[in-house]
Amino acid sequence: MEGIMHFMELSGFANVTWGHLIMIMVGLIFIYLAITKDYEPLLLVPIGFGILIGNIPFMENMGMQIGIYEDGSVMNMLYYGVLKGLYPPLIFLGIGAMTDFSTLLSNPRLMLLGAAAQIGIFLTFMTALALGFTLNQAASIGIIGGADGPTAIFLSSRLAPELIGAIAIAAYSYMALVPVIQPPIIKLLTSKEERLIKMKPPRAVSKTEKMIFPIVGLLLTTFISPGALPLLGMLFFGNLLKESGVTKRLADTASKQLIDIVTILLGVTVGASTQATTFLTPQSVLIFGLGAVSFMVATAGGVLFAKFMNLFLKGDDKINPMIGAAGVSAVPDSARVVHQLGQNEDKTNYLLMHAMAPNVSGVIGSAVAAGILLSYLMKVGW
Amino acid sequence: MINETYNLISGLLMQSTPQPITSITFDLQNQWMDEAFGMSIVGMLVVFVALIILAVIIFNISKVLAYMQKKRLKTQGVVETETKDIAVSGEINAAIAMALSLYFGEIHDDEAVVLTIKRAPRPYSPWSSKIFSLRDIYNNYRI
Repeated sequence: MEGIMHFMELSGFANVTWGHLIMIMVGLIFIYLAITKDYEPLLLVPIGFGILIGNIPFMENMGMQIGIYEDGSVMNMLYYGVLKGLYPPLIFLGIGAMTDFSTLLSNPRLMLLGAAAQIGIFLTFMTALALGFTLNQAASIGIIGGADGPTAIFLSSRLAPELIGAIAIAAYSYMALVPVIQPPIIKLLTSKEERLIKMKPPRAVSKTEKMIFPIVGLLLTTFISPGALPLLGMLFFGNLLKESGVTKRLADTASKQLIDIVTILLGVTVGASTQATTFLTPQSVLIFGLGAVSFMVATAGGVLFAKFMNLFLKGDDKINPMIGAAGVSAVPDSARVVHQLGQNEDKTNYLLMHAMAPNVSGVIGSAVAAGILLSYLMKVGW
Repeated sequence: MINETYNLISGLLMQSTPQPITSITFDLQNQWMDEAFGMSIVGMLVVFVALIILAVIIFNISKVLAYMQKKRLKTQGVVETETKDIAVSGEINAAIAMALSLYFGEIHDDEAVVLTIKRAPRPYSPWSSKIFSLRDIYNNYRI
């Protein structure tokens, strides 16, 4: 009888709290959004299920080694890849191996849009600081504005590991909600005439240019911001595997099997890290709020900068300012949203290829920004 | 004046928001704010500079490559002819693409008839051997 009572005490029913139930609901909502609304299913399904796994109530520190925060548990070992920033560079390797930089190479000035959208990072950094977060925490929260999950995880693993769960969930949630967040901001900041602008088709890019780009890109960006080396090193390496034409097998593995495996591990462990007992705090709610602001500011920054560029461009060279919104590095969702908005205005206006240019430069821009924050804060040691 | 306004606003924000994990003094917060402001300006500038330099390099690489190709063709004795940009509408492009697709599709069909008949190699393996198949055992029993 005593054994049965002991078993009952250890069961989930005996240890459940409101926090667990709330988080289980959040997990279910993520899974629902992924399956029915098709919002980033490859991310939201693993994260949503991870939230369910992480919020099964149990009696902690009983030596069962099952919780993600219990040393020696399987989930804890997998979570090591998040804590030590192992998964994000591997994801970047896959992204590099599947990204075609042709549109960026054909129209390099669109790279500036990817830089302009990073304003969201720095403004949110300042806001978070004003709200009482420490410098390291504020920098980690600000990077949500880069709309780049792996970069956000990488930076927070180095600067504020205690906030990884909240930051990762916020970053991926807003990436999934790109189709909801961006269109109203784009419409608000652009006129109908601007949305109807048709851009010149991109020129054909030679194979040699495509091969030179990852090498030059790596050398230049990492010499300027060495803190971004783990991310940009892998991104450009993956791209060279793709473009060199002689390492097709490696490029295939990086862009398919490897990125899929890492995405699964990253998604599940980040989801599981939202254990109610450690995750449900006013800080997490605040991080979510700041993340949303960050994302909106980044979108607005890109659009406004495209309008600014148009002041100096004439005729065919004019840019459709909507593509500025793709400067946030949610690849390729942002570009897809811009294309869809363009199609809603004019069925013959194809913006996808044009929007991909600021989109991929946003990936580089946010990694550079993360590198700058990392170098500065690690050096100063706040 | 700016400092006073900032102090007032940040003070109000501090009161109305949840307390951070670490207890930090207001002076330290002010110091951080100054640092963060400078860091943000420098950070944004560095991001811009990095991407502008990259854009300039890419822009010039394409020109250098085009020049080198032109030079190579010249040494090979290829005569350069001037071509005008032909304005072709999307519909015409689509029609050309469709025609090409159909043409190459037909070629493939012809090829398929001739080339895709291939004898499959059947190397011996005990796993596919008749001697070990169940049917044979069954037949042997019946005999």
